[in-house]
Amino acid sequence: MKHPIPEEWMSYLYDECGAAEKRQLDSHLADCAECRSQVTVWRGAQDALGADRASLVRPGRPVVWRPMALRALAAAAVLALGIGLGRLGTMSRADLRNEMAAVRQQWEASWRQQRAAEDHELMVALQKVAADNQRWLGTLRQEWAVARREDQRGLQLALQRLEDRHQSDHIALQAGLLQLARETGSGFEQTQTHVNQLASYLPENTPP
Amino acid sequence: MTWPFQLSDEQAMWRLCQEDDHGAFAHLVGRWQTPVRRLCARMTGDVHRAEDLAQEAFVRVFSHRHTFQPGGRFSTWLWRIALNLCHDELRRRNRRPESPWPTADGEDGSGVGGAEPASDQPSPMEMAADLEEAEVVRRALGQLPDHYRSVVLLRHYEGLRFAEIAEVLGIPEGTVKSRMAEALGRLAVLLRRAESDPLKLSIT
Repeated sequence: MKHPIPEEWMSYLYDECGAAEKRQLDSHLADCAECRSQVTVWRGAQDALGADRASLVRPGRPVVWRPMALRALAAAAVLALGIGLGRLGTMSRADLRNEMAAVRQQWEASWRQQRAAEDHELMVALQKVAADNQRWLGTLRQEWAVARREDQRGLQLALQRLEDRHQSDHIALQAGLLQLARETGSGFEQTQTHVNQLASYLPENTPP
Repeated sequence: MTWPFQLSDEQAMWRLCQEDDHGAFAHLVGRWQTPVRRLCARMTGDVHRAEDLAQEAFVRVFSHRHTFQPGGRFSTWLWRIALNLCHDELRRRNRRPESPWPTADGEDGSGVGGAEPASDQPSPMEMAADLEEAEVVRRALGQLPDHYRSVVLLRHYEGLRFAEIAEVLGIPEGTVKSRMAEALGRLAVLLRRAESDPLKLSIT
């Protein structure tokens, strides 16, 4: 049996392989105990990495440290540790573990509370951003309508000006044509007179 | 300055380069300071030093802003700067004996070993703190060689895809994946040993 190489398994474990490759690896995993055992080891390490909770802070999300909240949290932790430490000297390892579990539970509760507060803040911020966006869109719409009205007015004015100019050009052309016609008419009459005059100079029997 | 639209990192970089727009720089810092600080903290195992390193990374972004390639992705460039600073810090620290990580593993990739704790008898406070699962994981991460740790941090905690990590580190994608596989395998061994003896986190 040909085993997939670790690089392929990494794409598989981090959801970076295609659907066909995933199917192929799934089916290999079902059949191959050796690879199954290796993948289980890797998955175990992946799960353990999740225990470092700071990973839950997503990139791009600003973390606002609230000094009062932090101080309160630190004070609670110190208090819990202090109470625990007072008894540590006489504690067995099992007791110590129980104590730590209790402290952890307490810490987790305050952490959850802090997360809830942060989530609430995030929601408020998001709502504010949404409201800002709405307002901004409204302004944009109004400005756009004003700009459109101005554009229309400008266009009408330009068209009117073009029409006026067209009309005056038309009148000028008409006048020019009339003048040309008049001048052509008088020129024609003059030529006719000249031809008649020249004809009168010819002797009677000259063939035309 | 606030913009009526979502400014992308690359747009902010463009504004910073073209117009020295300080608002754009503030936007980049606000958006990336937490991830960068987090990466530095996990790389060096020292949250206080991570603050300085993150600050230094943004100082470099500003002072080297004109070397940013316009077609490139800002995050890739920023991760590279931050990682370089972390590597410098770890190199400096390796020359000094007092390291927050027990010991960094050798670069030859042999074994997953580290040093014993400074004292054979940890104090009750240390014992209590050491029982924290997250602390166990952090310590195990700290025992990985730097070039494995950086891959794990970028992929697992910062959610970069393998191809982008390859771009950040300037190595082939296949190498990134094989480092990841090796790192997960070593972590599994370290965590198993820590689990079998939770009071002894530094593994030999």
